[in-house]
Amino acid sequence: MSIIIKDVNKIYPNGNHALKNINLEIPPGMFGLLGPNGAGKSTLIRILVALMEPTSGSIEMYGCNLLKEREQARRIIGYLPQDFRFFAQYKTYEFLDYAACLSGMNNRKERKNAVDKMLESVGLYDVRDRYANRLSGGMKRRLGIAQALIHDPKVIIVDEPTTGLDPEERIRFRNLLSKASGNNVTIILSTHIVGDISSSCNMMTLLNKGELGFIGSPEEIINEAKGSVWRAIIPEDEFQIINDKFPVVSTIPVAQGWEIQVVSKEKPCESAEPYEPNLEHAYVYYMENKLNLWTKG
Amino acid sequence: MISLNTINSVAKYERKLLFRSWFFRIFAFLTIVPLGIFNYATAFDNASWVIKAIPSSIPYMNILFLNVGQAIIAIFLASDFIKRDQKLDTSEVFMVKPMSNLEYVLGKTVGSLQMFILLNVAILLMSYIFNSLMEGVWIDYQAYIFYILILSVPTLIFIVGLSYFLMILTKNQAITFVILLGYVATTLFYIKGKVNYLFDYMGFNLPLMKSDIVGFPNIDSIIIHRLIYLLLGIGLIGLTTYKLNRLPNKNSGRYKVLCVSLILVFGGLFCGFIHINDFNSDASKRKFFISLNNKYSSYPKITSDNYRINLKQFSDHIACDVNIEGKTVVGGKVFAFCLNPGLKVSNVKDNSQDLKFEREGNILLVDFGKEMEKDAAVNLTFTYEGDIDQTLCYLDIEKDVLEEMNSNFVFNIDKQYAFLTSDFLLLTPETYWYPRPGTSYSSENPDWNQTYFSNFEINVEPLKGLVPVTQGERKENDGKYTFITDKPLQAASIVIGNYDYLKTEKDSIEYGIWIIKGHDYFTSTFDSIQDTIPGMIKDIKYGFEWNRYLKYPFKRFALVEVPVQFAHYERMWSMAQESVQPEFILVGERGYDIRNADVVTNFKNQVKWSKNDSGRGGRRGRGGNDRTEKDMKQDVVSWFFWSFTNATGQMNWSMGAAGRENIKASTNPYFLFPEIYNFRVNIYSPEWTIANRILEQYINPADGNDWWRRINGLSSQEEANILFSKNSFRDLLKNSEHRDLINDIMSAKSIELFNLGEMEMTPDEFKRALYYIVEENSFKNLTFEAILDSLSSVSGADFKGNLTFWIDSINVPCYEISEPVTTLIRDLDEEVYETVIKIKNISDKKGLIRMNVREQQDETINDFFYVEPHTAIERVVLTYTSPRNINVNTFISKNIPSVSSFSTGKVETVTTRLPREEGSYPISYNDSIKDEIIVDNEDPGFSVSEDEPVGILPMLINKSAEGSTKYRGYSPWRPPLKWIVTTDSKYYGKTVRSAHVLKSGDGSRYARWDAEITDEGSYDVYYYVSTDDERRWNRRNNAYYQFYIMDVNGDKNEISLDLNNAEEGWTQISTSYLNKGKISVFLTNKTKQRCIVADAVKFVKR
Repeated sequence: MSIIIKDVNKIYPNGNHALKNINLEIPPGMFGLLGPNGAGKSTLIRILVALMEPTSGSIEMYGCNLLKEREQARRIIGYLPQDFRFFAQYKTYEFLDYAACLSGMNNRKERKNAVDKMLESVGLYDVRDRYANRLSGGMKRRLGIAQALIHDPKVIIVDEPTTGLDPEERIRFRNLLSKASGNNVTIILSTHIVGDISSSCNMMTLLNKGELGFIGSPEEIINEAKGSVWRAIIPEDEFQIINDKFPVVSTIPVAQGWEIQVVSKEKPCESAEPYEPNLEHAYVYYMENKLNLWTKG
Repeated sequence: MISLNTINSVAKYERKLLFRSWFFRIFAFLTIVPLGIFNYATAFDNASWVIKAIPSSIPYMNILFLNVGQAIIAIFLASDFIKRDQKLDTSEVFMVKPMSNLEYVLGKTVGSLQMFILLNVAILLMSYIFNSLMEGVWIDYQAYIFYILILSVPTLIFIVGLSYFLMILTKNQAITFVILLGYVATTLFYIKGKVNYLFDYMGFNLPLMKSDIVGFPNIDSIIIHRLIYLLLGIGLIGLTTYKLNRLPNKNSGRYKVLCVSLILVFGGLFCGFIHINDFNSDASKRKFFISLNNKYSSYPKITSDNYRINLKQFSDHIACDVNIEGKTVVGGKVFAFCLNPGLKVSNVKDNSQDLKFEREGNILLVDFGKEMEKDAAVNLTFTYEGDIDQTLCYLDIEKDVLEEMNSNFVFNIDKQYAFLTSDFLLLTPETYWYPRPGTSYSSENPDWNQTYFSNFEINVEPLKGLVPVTQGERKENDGKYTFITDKPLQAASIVIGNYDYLKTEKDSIEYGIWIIKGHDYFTSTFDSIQDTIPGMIKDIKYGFEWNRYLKYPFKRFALVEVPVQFAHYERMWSMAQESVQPEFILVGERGYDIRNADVVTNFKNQVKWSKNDSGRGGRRGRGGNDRTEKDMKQDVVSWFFWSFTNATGQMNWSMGAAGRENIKASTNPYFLFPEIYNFRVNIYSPEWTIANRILEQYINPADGNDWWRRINGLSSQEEANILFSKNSFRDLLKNSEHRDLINDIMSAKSIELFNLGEMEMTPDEFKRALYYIVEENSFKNLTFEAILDSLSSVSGADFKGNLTFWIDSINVPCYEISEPVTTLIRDLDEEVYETVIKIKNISDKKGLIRMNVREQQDETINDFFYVEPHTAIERVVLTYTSPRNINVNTFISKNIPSVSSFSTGKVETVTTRLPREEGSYPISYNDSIKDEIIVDNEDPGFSVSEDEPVGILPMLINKSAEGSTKYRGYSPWRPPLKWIVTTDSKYYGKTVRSAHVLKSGDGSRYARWDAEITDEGSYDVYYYVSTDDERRWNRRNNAYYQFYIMDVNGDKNEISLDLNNAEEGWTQISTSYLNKGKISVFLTNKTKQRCIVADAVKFVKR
């Protein structure tokens, strides 16, 4: 395993128990960290990137104790935070060069080559002299991942990387991550967009209220939801009754009323037909049935 | 291990960040442009002479100004870095990188500092360019580096560290700004140089002027001071690292940073302690020396008839053999001498016999081993060597005066009383560089001040390449010099430096300038008039001597250039400062504090102005197309020489409350007077320690600075007089608060004392008698009492009997003085002008008055007379020609001005009576002055309209705003926005000749005079008209004052007064029939003049 998290707890000074006894082993490859807002994802990530100390527990990262050997750990971590903005005064190239410098790439020539190569690979070479804050949203994200990758880290942690991106950029970004994961590195992708995980992660965990709910592959969690996803076309008057009783994950208006997708162990209505679940259905199913946390309506 | 690469990388990108920030760019622009303009003006306009005279002043000035700006901007930028890192996730991508916290903070700091240093270098480069373009101005390369290192770097590091740390603590940029800007303002405007500059982190007040001769004599204390802030700054940066909101790479590393930071902070505090301790130890050493002097001042001492001093100069000390031949003043076994405590005595001999001796501080006690009789001849030889301890100097000077900043323009200059370096040596008598009998300043026993005239032979072996200057005829033999004085001296001084000597001779006196090699900036300009300079010197010398009836007694006279830091003070017992020594005057580097020393620019200005004037087609002002270049050069050289013949030195302008200007004058430290008086006269009195000063001031009275009135509202003499109405002379002597008025205080009292003699003889005769006594007793010791006895026997006045009253009396007289009336008395044989003046003493104190009546042929009659308290007299003076003007001097009195000047008005001719005898005639006290109704602006019947609210900005710009005393100066070109009261002889006043002044306006504001008419009838109404500078220089056609008279019924009678046609003094403005009751005259502020002057109104019944 590349990352071993043992008995990690985090209690904030205000008493909020943000992480509760987290035990997790993360193998190389893309690892998804899924959970609703406030689940503790950001806390876990900040601990993993050595920006925060856990209250208790231990973390080993490629054989190095994150809590005691931070410098070594930081050398193998690449991090892209969720709210990634830029100092207005840096150009694209400079920003990446600065990140490379701070990552310990002291040889100027090597650094230049690495920066150029990275700019090429993220498709930003042509805008290398543009001030970073003048890049488009997708370009900024790519620059963000470039600074995280510039020093060939073993662990790459990305927090909500595709939020706000158009589909094309999102696909491009996922491909970048997938490409990076091919080099025996661990990529932790924290997101609440289940599509990101389904399309790129081989392992994932579901975090809620500071506790781990599920650990496994996306297929496993989808399998668990099989037989519990239904599709139906219902009239307008029936819709409200079903919506009150079951988690409705999709509603499409049609001539007869509504075409809906419902997550439920029982058949929600007469017209309902079984439907092949995807990760989103599985996520809702898990929240509803395993953790019993789905909020109706 | 700290990675320099990482620090450098962080610094590099911090630099980029700063360089691209508009805040920094605007600051850089706002710094470079004004300083560029300032440098340009300095280089190509008439810069202050100090800037040109001292080469280091250019980088000093630039860095000084820049430093204040950058100290403030650094607060914003430094706190912004912490804020930025706290706020943006952008920083988090860097925070997860493997650099250590220390590397990150240091990198940020170094980056910021590099940008500021770059700005410093840019500014200095600019000033260097201007510096190199300035003609005749040298470049001090060292200074360019020094000021960055000593001023900028510690300031920046400290303020950056403090900003970081406060920001980390408060986590609030606004609070950090408020605290730090408050701190900056407090140190800059309030604390300034207090507590020995301890809190002056910017070094704004720190004495940092670099001498071209000795560099920084105070370098140790400068370094300690700057280390305080450098170490504190680095320590605070370290503490910021410790407190930084990022997990450290290693916890142990964090604690190491904490430890080192605390060590640095304590190191800074320790430097502060050393700094203060040095300061306090100086103060306690001074106390110790005074206590020793008090203890030993009554010990037996000897006279010193002959001194033979052998001095060998080393790079950091001197070695001396000093032989004194003299006599014991009293009998005794152990005799006291004073020698600088830095000099260690190894041997004392009487003839060839070794004597026991003891050192206690500055005191050297010599034990003869036997009881010596009075007047026994002694021949003592002292062997000693060492350095000079300057804390012995000026023990009599108050702490606050010693601590006063020595500023010139924007520069702060260190105060050194002696120099002993490998390049330069200066030892004045104040340092006690050779043993002198008795003690130095004692606060208990005035005996210490008794000196003796001695002949000196001084043998000097200077360091190679240096030249000694001291008193006496100079002979050189193989690098060794011998000086033998041809007149006895009270003390000797010595200067050794890398000098060139420029000399000339006239009338057997050698005149010279000892100038540091390379400092000659003037001879090339004045080569063409070299031949005429001796004649000019002779004329100036003659004029100076003639005015004081005393001749220059020595065979040599020189100006000796000394470092800019050389400081000296005026003493209570003498106006002679250490800058003036027998045979020479010690002038600061290139005469930096003498405006007229900028002879080259002065000459160029003369040429420029004369061209301008001839262009306008005539001789005007300072120029004139008929003046040759030689004339102009001679004028310029004369002005320079006049810098040594004026008693008044620099004028110090200061801003008082609400921007009010104030002026104080200092005594000219280069004034030649001691050369002709103090060094030949040794007046001493154990009882009257100020005896010498009193005689000095009488011979050379303070000029009263009547022009001060325009700025201060009163002359300096009147300011002194006001002090006398509440304090005795003795009290004022004890109070250092009035040190700036000491010349006026002394002058007033010396005149008061010797008026007794002038009354009995004539002022001229009395002065001649005094000069004769002084001349006769030249180079002899003389007691004050003996002089008074001699003067009493000559004049018949009882001086000694009056001394106690003179020094202890408090009350001062006050007079009402009428305008003099002159009548031509004509009979068959002759014509006589009879001038009568009525004077009423309204005080409890008998007062002396001197009336000067100046006749047509410039003959002046000095008429002294007393006026008893609560009496009134008519004083009659007869002249054979019509008096031109009459001055009434009330000396120390409550009258303002103390000298009232009158011009002779209309002279009536009388043929029906004989002239009255000259003298005083008693008149009725209650009805002594004319029976008119006069309402003056000082009277209760006078009032003014209420002032309108005035904005802060106009108040600050307007110099005549509120202040702490009643009288103010004003300029008609910038008239006061609020009513002020000002004084002048040209105004009317019974005891105080004053007037109210206000800026002209729309007529809504007014001055009002109310009078009670008891006798109904027709009255002539007069107004007292005076001419101010505006009307004198700019006579407008519409110079009218608008009055209206309101009678008892409220009826108004409007009147215009045409000032251009009005006589000065009482001018009739109306004839009105006035009913019994209150009558009011109003003067409105509606006039084309810039201001209205409200003085006095008079009603005379027809």
